[in-house]
Amino acid sequence: MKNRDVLIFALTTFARRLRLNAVLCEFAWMACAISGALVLYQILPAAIAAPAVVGALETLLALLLIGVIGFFAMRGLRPITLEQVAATADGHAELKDELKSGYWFARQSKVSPLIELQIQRAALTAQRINPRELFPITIPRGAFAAVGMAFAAGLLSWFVPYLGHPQSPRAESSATGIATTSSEARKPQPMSNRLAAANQESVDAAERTPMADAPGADEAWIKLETAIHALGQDEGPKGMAAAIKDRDAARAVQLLEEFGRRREFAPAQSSGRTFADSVRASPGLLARLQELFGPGGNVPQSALEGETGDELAHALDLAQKLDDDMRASGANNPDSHKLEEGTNPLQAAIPLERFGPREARRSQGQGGEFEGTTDVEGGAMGRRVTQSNIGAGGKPSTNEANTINQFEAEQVLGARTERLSVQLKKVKIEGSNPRGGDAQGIADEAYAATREQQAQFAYHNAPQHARYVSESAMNAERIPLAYRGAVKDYFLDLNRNEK
Amino acid sequence: MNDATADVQIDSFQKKFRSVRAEIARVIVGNEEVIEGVITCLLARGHGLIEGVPGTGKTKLIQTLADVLHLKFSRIQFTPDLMPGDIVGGNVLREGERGEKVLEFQPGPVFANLILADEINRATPKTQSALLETMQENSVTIGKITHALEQPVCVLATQNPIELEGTYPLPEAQLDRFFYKLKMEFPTAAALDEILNRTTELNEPTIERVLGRGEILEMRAIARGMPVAKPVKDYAIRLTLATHPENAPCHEMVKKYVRYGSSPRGAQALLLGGKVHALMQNRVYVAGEDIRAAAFPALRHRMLLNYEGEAEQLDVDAIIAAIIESVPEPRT
Repeated sequence: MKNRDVLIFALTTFARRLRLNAVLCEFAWMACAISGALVLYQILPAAIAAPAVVGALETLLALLLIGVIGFFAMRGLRPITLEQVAATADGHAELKDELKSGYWFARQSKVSPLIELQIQRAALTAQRINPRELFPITIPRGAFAAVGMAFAAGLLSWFVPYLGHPQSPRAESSATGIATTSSEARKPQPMSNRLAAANQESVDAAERTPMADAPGADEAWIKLETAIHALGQDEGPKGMAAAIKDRDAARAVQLLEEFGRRREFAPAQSSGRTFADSVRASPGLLARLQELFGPGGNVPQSALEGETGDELAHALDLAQKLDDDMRASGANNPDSHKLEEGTNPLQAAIPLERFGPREARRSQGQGGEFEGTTDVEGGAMGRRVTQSNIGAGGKPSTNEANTINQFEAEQVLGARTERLSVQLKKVKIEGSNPRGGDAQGIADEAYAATREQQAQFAYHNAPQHARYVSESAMNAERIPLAYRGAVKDYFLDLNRNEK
Repeated sequence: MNDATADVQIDSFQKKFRSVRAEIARVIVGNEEVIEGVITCLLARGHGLIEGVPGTGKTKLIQTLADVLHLKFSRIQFTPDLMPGDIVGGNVLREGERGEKVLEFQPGPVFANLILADEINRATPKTQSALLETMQENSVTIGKITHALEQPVCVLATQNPIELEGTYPLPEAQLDRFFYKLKMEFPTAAALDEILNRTTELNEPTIERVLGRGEILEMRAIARGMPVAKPVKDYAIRLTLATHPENAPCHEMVKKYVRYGSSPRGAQALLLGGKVHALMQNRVYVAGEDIRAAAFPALRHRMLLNYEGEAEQLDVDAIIAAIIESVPEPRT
């Protein structure tokens, strides 16, 4: 056997081991990808509520998995050239390119004694190498990851039904199955049985008819329509009936889900009334609340007087209670507010809550023969505060009137914020009477920066500004690189001499 | 030449190389890389430029090499008033036997095998350029007559990097003709102790002549005949191209600090230096490691820094190291 053949034979042996290792590695990554996809498949329905999104993501996941498997399969099937084998063996055995050079010369037709000598030496070296020692068959790291993820997928398949999202189809069905076997499931539900049964029936019907043109679909739709009609003539059932009439399964399912959520809110109410009762609690009160606390509406003083005030106090109590209950049950979220918009007294809690601390009052002071008006808007919790003092007449308002105004404003505003008390001080503001008259000028007190504060602010900023200007000038100067050292030395010397 | 003969030749090459190195090491302490570089220049048909501060043994190294080899040695002390004719020689008017006047060629000191051009940067560029033809074509042309120099021809020049007053930096064309530029480092404490022991006592070390002209020519032929695999050759080419700032995939430092990259002579030096280095390592093939070992002395004087690089006083070796880092060695 020639030296060339010996070398190529040895490299072929190495190649088989390398190939096996490569295939194992790619196979392990493939298994890792499959296990990872399984984990994601278990997690997706539990993490995302919308079944349509879950379905789309599952499809995407499947496509991605196919792509990844294809990628690893391609890599695993990719042939390994003997040049690569020689280079890898050189690297592993620290042969300094001996096999690589030897194989390259073995493929050439050029023959010289030195080339033959090199091939001979390379062949001898390759023969001395034990392929089992140089390329041992190892369990790839991906295999451990795959096992770990498969284990995680197994665990998730057990736990996801317990942890799953209530809206998720798979989790819901699992959770329903579990709930029916538990004793809690046998407890009487606070919601009306009719609504719950209709709701459940419609959800099941929607799930059972994935396509509108499936066999028996029309029959199912008709059944659903009948069930919805039986629920009554409220807004919700009306919408559902319209959706079912249009054969809009997605809209119908959405409306049914909203019903389901409302059903959950109902038992949380402390009064023990059902959701429907709450809705019909006080139509007059509701209309009034909407009028009072509609979006952007400001509450006039008159709204707080007389019988309306009592109603408002009642509504405030009711809304506060409902809001507390909803917070306790975890159902007070933006979505629920949005759902109840225009029909639910719970919505009143939002403007009421804001109304309390932020309420604005107008106080009017009679300053003897002069008239002074103080408007204070805004309020606590760091919100914007505007204050304006308008003096009319020739003389300033009396101190007493100012004190009362200030006291009232303090009452409404609560304690001044830390920021205001630090930044602003009560200063006397003097000015001339714009309308003329017998008074020489007007004066008032307001929160503003004192002259000392203004001066202090400027004094602190002065050195910073000067430093900034000087640094900017230094940075903007472009000294040629060659002279930078000389310039630096020059100034260092100057500095040293000055010291 | 069959395989056995080649094997014997390779072994012989290594033995001779080691014997020369060992003899030089009896006089020169440390600086093994410079010693190997000088021998490589000789065996690769190149010329060497040795740079170092005064007193580090540059001239001593070349004198020792001349003592070790059975070669004709000449020394030229470059001074500002040295003329080209003082180096290459010239025609002198002589009286013949019958009283007639004849022009006779008087060969200069370049007519030797081993030429020491001491402090080469002290002579004017005109005089320095007198060596151009000698170094490249191994010949001297005077008038209309070209005189071929006897092989081997090896110019070993020295220069001082710090004392620049009254010196003339070597022109690029001259620099490019040097195969290697070697840096003589200041000796370490242990090496300095050994130098003191050897040079301040009664008995100074003596050396023997171990190689003759024929053996050197044979070693040159072996080195030239070393086969190089294509991937390794490609590696040398890519290294050379990476020194050019106009090349797209070059290193950031090259783009920033280099004005001109290495000439094709640089690639030749890489490959030939790699061959000799491989033979020194008892290998009959050139590996990427050999090319890398030759990269610093072969490229450092062939890369011209731009204004910014000069101002930053950048060491070219740092750029070469960055290039070596950035250019991947071919796996296949």
